[in-house]
Amino acid sequence: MKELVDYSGPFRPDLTFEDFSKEFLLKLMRVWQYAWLHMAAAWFDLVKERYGSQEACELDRMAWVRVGEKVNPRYARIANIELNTVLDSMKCLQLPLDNTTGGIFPVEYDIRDENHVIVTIKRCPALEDMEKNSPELIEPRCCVTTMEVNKRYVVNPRVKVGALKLPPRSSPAEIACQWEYTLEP
Amino acid sequence: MLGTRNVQCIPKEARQMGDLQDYSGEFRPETRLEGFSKEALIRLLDAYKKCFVGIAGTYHTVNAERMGVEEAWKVDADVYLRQQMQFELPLVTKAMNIQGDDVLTVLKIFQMLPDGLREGQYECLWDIKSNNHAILTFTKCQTLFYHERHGNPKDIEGLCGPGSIEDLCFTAYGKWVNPKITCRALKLPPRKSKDDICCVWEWKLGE
Repeated sequence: MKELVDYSGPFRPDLTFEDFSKEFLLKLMRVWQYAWLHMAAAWFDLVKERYGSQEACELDRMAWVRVGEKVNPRYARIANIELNTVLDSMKCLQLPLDNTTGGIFPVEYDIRDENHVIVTIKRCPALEDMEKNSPELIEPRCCVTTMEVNKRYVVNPRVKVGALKLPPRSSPAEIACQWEYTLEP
Repeated sequence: MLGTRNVQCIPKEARQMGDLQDYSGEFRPETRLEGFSKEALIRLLDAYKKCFVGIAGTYHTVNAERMGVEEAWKVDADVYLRQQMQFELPLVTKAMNIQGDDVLTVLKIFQMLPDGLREGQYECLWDIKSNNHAILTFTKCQTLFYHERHGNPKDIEGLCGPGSIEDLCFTAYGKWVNPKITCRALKLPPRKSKDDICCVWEWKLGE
């Protein structure tokens, strides 16, 4: 059967992802990535409206930490990634829905060796939104939540995560943040 | 590989090299999803759908611990409806070039959502009466199974009962495609036994 390049044709009750072309699957993945980020943002906003910023930040932090612990090891499993080095953990950061490969968070890697990597996030739409609309959230979300979440996203507990530069920034021309990953002996 | 690599500066051709079957090989700073084989992308999509439901479930659990189950379900429903109307439904429909205003269009969208119908997670039997009338019998719902194992009756009510998140979302899918499409539950949990079906929903285009 010819691969579907979109879903403009008739409804197929027995549809599977295998029926679609690779290009189609890539489009779908990008939409899911976008939906994931916006769903998380919607939850945060709703809790903030009802319970205030402090409570929203705390619940957001707790939820993302649990997600990181429960969900992210799946990526290592399905991608057959053995978690021995820092670079192996960098591979895990490239695969999630909020990944570093899709262009939403443009990154630069400074690979000192396989167990020492500095990652620079040059642009971050979430930070840009907070700078414009809610600067009071930058500290709890970028400095507290992101630090804890990054520790889970590397999947390997031996990988140490350190922040070299964090918001707030003095100008939009600056990088968003910079992280150092090393392997604990 | 050592040294500084700016992913955005790497030529597109180089980024698209090869069809990786998995990511067991060396770290590639320039990795793009395009670099993986179709089979690898399908495995990743399968993980994404579980993760998407995972984040929803985790938010619910965290919120319920702080604000109580009933309030947490209200927040969930509000989040889902806002997110779906603003992002998920228009983006998925556009990306997949899904057009139309009948009930089958609703079902096509339903198949494409990250938390939509999918083998192993949310499975149903299709009774398609016509383009404008379909009944779906859900035989597998991992979210219901989770709450049957861990939750209290209020969780099942908040998930599946009248006015629940499912009720609101299923209705919203139909209205988004065509305001004349109605959705109603023909059977809802709680189930009498684990062999029982989960729920039955009817979508219909009204006069």
